[in-house]
Amino acid sequence: MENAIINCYCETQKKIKKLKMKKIKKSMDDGRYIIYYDWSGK
Amino acid sequence: MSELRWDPVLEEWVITAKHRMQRPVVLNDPNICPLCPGVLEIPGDFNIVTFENRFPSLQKNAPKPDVKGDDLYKVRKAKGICEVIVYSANHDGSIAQQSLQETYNLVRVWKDRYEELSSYDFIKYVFIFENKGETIGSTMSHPHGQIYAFPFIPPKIQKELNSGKQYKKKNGKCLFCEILKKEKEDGRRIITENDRFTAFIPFYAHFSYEVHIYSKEHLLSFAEFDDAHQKDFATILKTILMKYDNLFGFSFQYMMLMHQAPTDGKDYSYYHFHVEFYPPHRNATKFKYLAGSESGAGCFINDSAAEDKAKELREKPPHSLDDIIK
Repeated sequence: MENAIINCYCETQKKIKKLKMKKIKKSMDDGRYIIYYDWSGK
Repeated sequence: MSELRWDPVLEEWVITAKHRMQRPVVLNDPNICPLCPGVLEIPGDFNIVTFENRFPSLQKNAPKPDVKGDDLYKVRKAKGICEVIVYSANHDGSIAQQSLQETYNLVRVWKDRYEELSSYDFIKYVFIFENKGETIGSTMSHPHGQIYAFPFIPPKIQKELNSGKQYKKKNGKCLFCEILKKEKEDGRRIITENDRFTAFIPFYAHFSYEVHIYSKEHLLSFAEFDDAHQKDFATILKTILMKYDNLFGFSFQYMMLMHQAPTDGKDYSYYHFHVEFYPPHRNATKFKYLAGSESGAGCFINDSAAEDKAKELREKPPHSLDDIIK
């Protein structure tokens, strides 16, 4: 079977950064909540 | 406005939500998309955002049912939570078109939502899913998914739980681990894999391009994912969605359904985290509809063999990690 294994753990780990996740929860006018997830300030 | 009505014949709850008839049908017009920054739902710019659905099937402060129930026709409040997760501020795009980094960020949000919503005592099941494409009935083309946090275990999940429990009792093994083992031994239906996940079209596929992603380890939910799981899951997810788009050269339509353990505090050690995709495409121009046999008798007719369709997807790019890095 061809092309089954496309990557290894080490390669993936190097290519993706674990940035600090910020989570800000706010209330909207009608009472529903909204949550912003942000990774800026890297 | 909404309530749960018990179907005593099929023994399952039906959510009656009349207010959802008022939902807007907004497709492919960035000027009036309610999910674009600052238009309607989301004030200001954002990376990933989640909010309570304006037209929820289930509500935290659920209203009193419109109708009175009895022993045969049971009625309950439609208490739960429905969220919309918007993957990006960019109106045009999809998980397949996002960077791998963005997909990984989204996986972290899914994990966070599963963990937060499962902490409510009235939530018994957190169902994360995406309806993508007009054929599926998606009313908005802006890249987004949904979460239904149910006050009961949905029937399809319950059926899987029952099968898993019975198999474990009879054989002492996890049904899903055994399916994964059998698929790997055969190999013809495997599409791709990495260290922690395997994607395949199961032997018993209902839809032509019905890909399942299984965790290789016996994990029950996102709650058990460490950072390496999240990275490998993002990678295999993006790989499958890019292969879907490369199949016929257009943005593929699908339902993406995340099957995880219930959150009612009971023991579900016989279950197994997996994702199922139900694409309506049979080929580039023909769709699979749930017609008489499927809808009326519950018996699926798949017009193709899983081995052939898995080969098609296996042969489409991406074939390497470099292919999916942007």
